[in-house]
This record gives sequence, C-alpha cells and structure tokens, in this order.
Amino acid sequence: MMRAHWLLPLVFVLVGCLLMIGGIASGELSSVYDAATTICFSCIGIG
Amino acid sequence: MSVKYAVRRTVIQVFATAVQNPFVQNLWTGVVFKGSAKAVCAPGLNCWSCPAAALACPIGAMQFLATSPQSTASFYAIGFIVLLGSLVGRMVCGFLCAFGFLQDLLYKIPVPKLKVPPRADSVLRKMKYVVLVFLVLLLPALVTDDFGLGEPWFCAYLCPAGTLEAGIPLLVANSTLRGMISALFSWKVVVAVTVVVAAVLISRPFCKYLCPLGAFYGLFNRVSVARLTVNPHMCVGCGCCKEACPMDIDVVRGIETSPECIRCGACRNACTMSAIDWTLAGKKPGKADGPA
Repeated sequence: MMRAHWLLPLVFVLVGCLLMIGGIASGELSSVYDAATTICFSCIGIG
Repeated sequence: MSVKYAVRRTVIQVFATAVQNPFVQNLWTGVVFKGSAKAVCAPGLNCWSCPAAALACPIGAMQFLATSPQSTASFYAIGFIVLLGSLVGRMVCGFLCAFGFLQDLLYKIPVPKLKVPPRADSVLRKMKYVVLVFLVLLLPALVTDDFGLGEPWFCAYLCPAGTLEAGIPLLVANSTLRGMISALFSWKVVVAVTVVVAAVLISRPFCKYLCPLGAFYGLFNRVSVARLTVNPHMCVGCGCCKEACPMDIDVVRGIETSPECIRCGACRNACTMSAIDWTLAGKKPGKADGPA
C-alpha cells in the first residue's frame, strides 16, 4: 500500500524528466532562449 | 500561531523573487538580460521580457513553441512543470512565484476585504483551466496567420505579470516603444489594474481564478511527493485552518487532494493542535510536538 503511494509520484517525476530531456534533445532550449532574450511585444501589450 | 513562520516564508518569497529578477538596474535602461540562464524556466509566473528577469517564463515558453509552425508543444516547459509539480505541487505558488508574492503584499494593505459568494467563487475557480486549455495550449497552436505563425494569446490578452513587470518598465525606459502603444496596451493595463485592485480586496485572486500555471501545478497536488496532511486524530474541528487559508479551502476535507492548495503552510501555522504537518507521499502524518 505504501509502495503504491510512492509509485504514482515517482512515475510523474520520471515523465517530467523524460519530457524535459526530450525537449532539450530536440533543441527547444535555443528556441526558448531566443524568445526569452528578445522583447516580446505581445507580453508588453504593444503587439 | 507563529509569527516566525510567516517571516520565514516572506524571506523565502523575497529571496525567490530576487533570484528570478536580479538585474534591477536594467529597469532604468530598459535592456533585457541576454545571459544563457534565460533558457532555463523560472518556477513561477515571471515575465521573461521584464528587464530584471534572469529566467524564462514556463507559460511563455509553452506558448511560443506552440506558435511556431515547426512544433506544436514545448516538451521542455511542460516537462519542467510536470517535474516540479510532481515533486511539490502548488508549493511553487506559495513560496516561489513572484506574482503570487506581489498579491500577498497587496492583500496586506489594510482596507475592508471582499468575500466572493461561494457559488460565484466555485465557477470562477474553473476559469483558470479554461485559460490554460484555450489561451495557452490550443489557440496559440491552432489560430495561425498565412505564414503558419500563431500568437501567444495568454501573454497578449491576459497576463498582468507581463504588463506590470515588462510592459510598464520597458515603456518608461524606451521612447521608441512608447510610440508603438496601441489599444491592446490599454486593454492590458485595464486587466493589470483590475487584478491589482482585486488583490487588495481578495486574497490571491489571480492564483484562484486565472493563473494557468497554478492550474497546471494544481493537477499534481494529489500525487506530489511533498504534501500537507491533517491528522484526523488530533484535529478538533475548530476551523482555525480554514480561517487562515489564503485560498479559502476547506482544509480538513481537501488539503491533501485539492488543486487549489498553494501549500503555503498558513493552516499548519494556525493549527493550535498541531494536527497539520508536512509529509512525503506514502508516509502517514506524524504527531508533531507542538505549535510551530
């Protein structure tokens, strides 16, 4: 029973890690960096 | 009730806000930080166009990847939220979110407070899921122009953090940008002012009703590793915890599973019987020695 309580959080932690790794491997970091380092006109409401 | 706990939590919130926004001097120059840390997502809602910001906004990242014709979702940003959510749930909202901290400060302004009627409150709380599904996930990917490019709907039409942390400072510092102001900015100012005024009158209204990031993290409250639990053998049903809860949750019934709990620990701090405590998934609540 106690193991079952641990299992679900563990599964989600692993899913989160895998998604992050997949995103990083597919080059998403550079896309995020590019978007985050230019002034986003939509974010500031002038787009 | 311990004042020490409230002070400790405020110190953590100040520290988290400072770590996510260390470049305060940029607010005067209007220059956006371009270091490599900008590729890393911040845990809370923190506009990446804010000149002081050191990290990327996870909601911004999700939308911008969705707007691109080459991709439909940001696995990196979604994975980041899934990972953090499954570790601590909405504790991020209670301790690490700069915009949540701003709302906490605004609610401290001593004016008569508003109580939202329960039925309206219950309906309004569902709005954040609508915001997450439509403004963050679907519309940026599905509504595209002739070049296949979408628009970050949440950032463009709703996010008050963007207006307060980035829009206003950048427009004050940059005259070229001031010349580009359109009706959209007026709308965003109306939204931001409404949220600010609401935050003075209602505890954490943006977190309760509109925040897509809180909605996402909240989905993991039920399964997160760290959680708050109530020991039913020690609880006397005095209602102190419900009174102290900034999210107005029925703590005894719903603290472990409610997607609304921001895990700020106010209930634990208010409990005179020490019936509420931090636990890890799979562990039963321990008996605390006394009030924190």
